[in-house]
Amino acid sequence: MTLKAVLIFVAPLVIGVAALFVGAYGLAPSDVIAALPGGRSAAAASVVRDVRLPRGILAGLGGASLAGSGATLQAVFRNPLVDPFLLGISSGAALGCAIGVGFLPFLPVPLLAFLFGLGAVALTWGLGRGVGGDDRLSMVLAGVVVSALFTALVSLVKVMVDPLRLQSIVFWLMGSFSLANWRHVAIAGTGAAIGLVPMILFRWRLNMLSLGDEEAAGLGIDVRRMRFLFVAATTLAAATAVSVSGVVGWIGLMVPHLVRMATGPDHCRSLPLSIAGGAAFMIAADTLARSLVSWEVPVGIVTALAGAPFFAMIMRRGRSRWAP
Amino acid sequence: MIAVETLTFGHRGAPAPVLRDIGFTLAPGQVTTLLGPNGSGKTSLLRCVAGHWRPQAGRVLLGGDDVAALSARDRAKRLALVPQDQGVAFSYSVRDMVLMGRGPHVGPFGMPGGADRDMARQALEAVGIAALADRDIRRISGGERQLALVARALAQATPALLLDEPTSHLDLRNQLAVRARIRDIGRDRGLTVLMTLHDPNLALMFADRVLLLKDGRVVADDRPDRAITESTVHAVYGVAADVRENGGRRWIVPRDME
Repeated sequence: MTLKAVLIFVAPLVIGVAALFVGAYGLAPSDVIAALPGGRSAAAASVVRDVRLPRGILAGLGGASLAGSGATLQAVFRNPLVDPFLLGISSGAALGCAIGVGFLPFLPVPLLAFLFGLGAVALTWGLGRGVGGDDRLSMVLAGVVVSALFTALVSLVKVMVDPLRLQSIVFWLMGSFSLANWRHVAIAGTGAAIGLVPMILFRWRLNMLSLGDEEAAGLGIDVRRMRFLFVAATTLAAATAVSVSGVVGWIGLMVPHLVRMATGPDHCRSLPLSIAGGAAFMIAADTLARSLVSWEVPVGIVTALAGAPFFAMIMRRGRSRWAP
Repeated sequence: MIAVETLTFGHRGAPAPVLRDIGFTLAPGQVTTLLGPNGSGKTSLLRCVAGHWRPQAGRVLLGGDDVAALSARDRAKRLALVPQDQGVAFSYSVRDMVLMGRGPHVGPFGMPGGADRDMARQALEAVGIAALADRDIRRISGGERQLALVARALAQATPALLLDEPTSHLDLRNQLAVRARIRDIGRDRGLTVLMTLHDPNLALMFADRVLLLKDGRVVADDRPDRAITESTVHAVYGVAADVRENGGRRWIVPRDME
């Protein structure tokens, strides 16, 4: 393993631990250490154990799920510009949130966001299959159609609800880990495990799938089954991540790119590294989001604000050996 | 061994079939060429043999089993297809690309191991591009990329090798080099080699046997010098041509078109 790879794998842990020392509630480093399991300080303990620690872990799980899903879908759809929301997860989850906040306040928003995210992908899948022809292209088109439909419905809900609810919807859509708790960590952890484990197990097949259906079949891959497995896994992982943190963009597109530029496109390496890199990037972005100014910046804004220039810089620097 | 029995294939909704009543048997150690003009059905036939397309009638047997009944994995253990160079979305190294040929031999949950890497390396050596192993597959020449795809097919370690216009984008020197290498490897290893071609002169140089296709039918099936004559070239390509001999080699030289 190269030094770069080791650094990427270690990054989430280092950044995650560092993030524990940062926050709105002023704590001396010694207090934070005392609050870690085994320590005794009560006030610090509740801040560190019940706020910062679950929040860091949740951000890490979310980043891992989104970046892993992004890397996988980029290979499945043979397009390095694909993100985990290609098949409609984000617009579906957004509609779930909007309906929950607007009309069904007795139902938990994460549940509705998750179900609508799954529903949107199922609709895309059914529509794409129905159109037939080149499975991959019709699937992408179906994703565009479903996203447009759900986004229009979200807008419809937005104009119908009162300003207070509108504000909640808008904030949720920008993505945030501010409501993190251990229950959310358990949910996100389950989704990440169910989604990421099959991706990791079958990751070498992503190389073959990325060559196209006929070539992959010629190399012994059961293309339809594999594509279904990967789409199902990414949908579970990404929909779970979105359900507890809202729609955080950029990570799923950008991190796999950065990883490929650092260590090459072979998915045996690039998928696990994307997962680790996504976790590291999201924890860092969330730590910035909650510490830059006195109020909480939605983390989706931070990932875009920090990510876009960073990405542009790397792209310019690496243009000579640009490896999408 | 590959056997094609009374195969008929047409696209769904198309008025006429692309391939009609085709039958032949291919023996190991021979290079057979599917020769014919554009649209004669060469590539369709290759796809049917590879199992990508299902014929409406007839069947393709690989070592006695119907190709349609085999799983993708079993098919890929019996024949390897070298596709036309069509671009890759990601910058895999040549080594990674060739290693993918081990796909059908690695268990469903598995990853390629040391033995697979050895076979990939040997395949690279066999086609003579071991020095390119770490290069980006998208940044080598067309001829080198074609050789990498041949190496991937060799790493697949199948008894049969199918090639779709393996040198159509290559310059003269690379055409000759790639073709000679494919022929030599095929003979050395006793592979059943089937390739599509549209240039009769290349078939005269490198094939042991020619299947001449016109409008989806086999109109000649013979040694190259017998299959490719003035009359068959005229019938199939619609071109008046002379067959010349030079140094024991035969050449098709088109006359001026009127």
